[in-house]
Amino acid sequence: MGATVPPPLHGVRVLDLGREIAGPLCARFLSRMGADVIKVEPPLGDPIRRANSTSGARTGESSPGHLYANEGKRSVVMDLATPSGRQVFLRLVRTADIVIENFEPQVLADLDLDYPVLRAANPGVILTSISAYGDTGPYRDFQARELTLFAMGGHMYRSGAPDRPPVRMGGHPTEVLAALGAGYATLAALRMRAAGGQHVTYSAFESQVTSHAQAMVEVSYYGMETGGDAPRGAAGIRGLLARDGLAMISAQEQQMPRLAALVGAPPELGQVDPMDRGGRRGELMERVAEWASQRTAREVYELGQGARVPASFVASPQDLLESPQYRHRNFIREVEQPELGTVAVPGLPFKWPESEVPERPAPRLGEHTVEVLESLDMTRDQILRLAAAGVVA
Amino acid sequence: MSQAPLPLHGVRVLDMGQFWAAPNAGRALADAGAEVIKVEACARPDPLRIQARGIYPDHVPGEDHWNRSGMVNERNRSKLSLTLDLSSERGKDIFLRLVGLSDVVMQNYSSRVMPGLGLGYDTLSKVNPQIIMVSVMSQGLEGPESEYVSYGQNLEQLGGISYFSGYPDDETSSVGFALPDPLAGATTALAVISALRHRELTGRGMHIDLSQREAASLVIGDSLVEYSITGEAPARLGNQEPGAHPSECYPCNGDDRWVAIVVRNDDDWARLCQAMGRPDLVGHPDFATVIGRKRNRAALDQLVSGWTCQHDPYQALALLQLAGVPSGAVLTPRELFRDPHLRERGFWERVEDPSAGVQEYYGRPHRLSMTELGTRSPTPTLGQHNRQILQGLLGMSDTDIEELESEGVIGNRPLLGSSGGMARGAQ
Repeated sequence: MGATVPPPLHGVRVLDLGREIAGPLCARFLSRMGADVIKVEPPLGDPIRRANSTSGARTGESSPGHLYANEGKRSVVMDLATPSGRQVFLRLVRTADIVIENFEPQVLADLDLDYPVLRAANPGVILTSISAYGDTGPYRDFQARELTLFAMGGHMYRSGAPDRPPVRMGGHPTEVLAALGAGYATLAALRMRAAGGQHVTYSAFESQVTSHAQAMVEVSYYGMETGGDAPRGAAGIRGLLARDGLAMISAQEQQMPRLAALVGAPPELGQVDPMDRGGRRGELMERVAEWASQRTAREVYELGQGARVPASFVASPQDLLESPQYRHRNFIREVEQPELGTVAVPGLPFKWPESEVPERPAPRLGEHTVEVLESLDMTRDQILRLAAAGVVA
Repeated sequence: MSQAPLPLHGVRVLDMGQFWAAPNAGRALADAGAEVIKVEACARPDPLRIQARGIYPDHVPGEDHWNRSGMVNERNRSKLSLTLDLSSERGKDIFLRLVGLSDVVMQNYSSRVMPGLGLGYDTLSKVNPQIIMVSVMSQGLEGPESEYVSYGQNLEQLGGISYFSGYPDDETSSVGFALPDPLAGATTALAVISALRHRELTGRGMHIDLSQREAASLVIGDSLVEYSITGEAPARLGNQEPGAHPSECYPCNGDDRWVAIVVRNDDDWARLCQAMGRPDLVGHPDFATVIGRKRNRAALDQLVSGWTCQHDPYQALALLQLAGVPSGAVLTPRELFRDPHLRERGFWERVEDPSAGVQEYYGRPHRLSMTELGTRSPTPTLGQHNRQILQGLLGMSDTDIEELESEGVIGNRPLLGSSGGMARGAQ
């Protein structure tokens, strides 16, 4: 079916004051929904543009994080710390539906650009503030990074080997979860727009605490003496050592007979009581481990799934870029990025069947300053004067 | 302050979600004002209701243990409960009549289940062209791996998170929680609310096909971009933040206690020296620059851990934050439960569950200034609202309902015959 109708956020304007991951990625999710997202950057740009890549590869002002979190946006440069920069920004706020930021909570107030000021400029505007700990409470101004939030959120205490320091999950788990959740809260506020704008606040710390499967429930249900006391390292090795790496089979009761057949174990080993963690379940699992050790991780995945048993392997970036399933769904799109050529960028995990969002690469710093200011009815002359004063660029 | 109507007021959701991801999304929608009806069959209730190793108050499953399961009661707050045998003609008929009165159907069965019941999107949209169906699939509804089944930990591997997790020198190490479930839950809530807006533009419903594996990959999206540029797989970094030295967990006073510290630059180093009460080290030639801190890492670690060891994690955190060093204590669930910050923000909610008694559950990370979102009612007992829904929405009589009960189409106890009471059905 062709794209026949506009995407859901068509006609919605978002100003992205975000930096690094959580704020920009939230705005980027909205851009993938068709919003017009203008990234408002300081003269030196969002620091993510120059972020160290994990491989140490040199990508100049176009770090992988920038290409990921800022695709689909326009970029204007404005020095909000100057009176005229602030004035121009407030003019832009009058045209906007949503402003997203992830500064530390005091920053917007210091710039005299906190929610009451934005509301005075535009009563309908929604300000979404994503922060580490929320805008109140004793930790409000705590300095946080991905590692420190992962520690505070309670997931780290049981990770890694018991005889080594705790170790974090890879990637940006706390920031990405916050970006998704803040996107939801922002669109909830947008549904209330008839009643006016409002301030949406989001705490990445609290989203970590809400993402425990059972530990927090145990504390309430069992009490402070015994609840949530899984030892550190309880996560252990969560997988099977295949010939060339790690795989996993997480079969439940009804999959046990199929699992036994798959690994060539006697059928009675598939009739285990899943509550019986030792005994015959252990016997079956030994057979599974031996079976897996003679195969590649990929084979464990394919053969397991062929038998309708939940199986997986540790997929590498290459595996994901080449994944026939991802290709089929066009999850990772090829975007033409000036100066770098074709770059693969993951999209959203879902789509609206009748509409498509036009592709736009991540912007160069200030690439759209003139275009956006002209749309505010500023003359070239005015813009040049601001540029000469270093207010815009 | 007078409250504005809740953002999802007037939206009705049939939540067929089970386990974690989809029910989590249903709870977010319910807290925001949607009328969310949790639909279960007595012969196939949410598997978490009848888990052998479930969480029950004081470890006592009790007479009606399916209503006392902590994992169900945490993530199905603010909803209504309806039981319906969807394999029976009458059950299907009732379900489709409800579809006619609803806005959203959410489900996370494996891809064959709904079409197998004759309740695929085509059928639903014939009954109600406005209906939004959201299928929260393991890998999507179509494509070569669409029938593959998985749980959260599988998706952590398949989505690429595991590749980057754990110690750099040990590829078998792992990091302990099934993040893909909460990620998929947040993604599902986002998908539903975007689809509601899209329906306002198109005037038509739609089928949203959501891949949980893809939601997991969002966590490492920048590394996928990087690989496409360099052709080299980025490294697994453990606790290392690129460019920050040190960036590590250090031991604290106490049994297996830790604090995480990230020194992004020389300014942070000066702050760390201040926190440790060692201003003399700020300009120390071995540590003053990032190159020095990297080269002299062993000496540095000894120095920092010598200080952290003297403090418990909360004390170390307070001193580090006073000096402005990015840091975090490695907190346990019990510590979080009484954490002063969360308590002061009113994060925990006391809920009186019908069968599990008074419990405290976490609230939500988002807050709206115009209205207060919160748990509106405890998780319902199985089938608690059968009568209310069937009479109130479908105008059924007492006799109709008694008939449905005697035919086993509705009920308020799980039928545990064939399943042996255990969780079944990967997503």
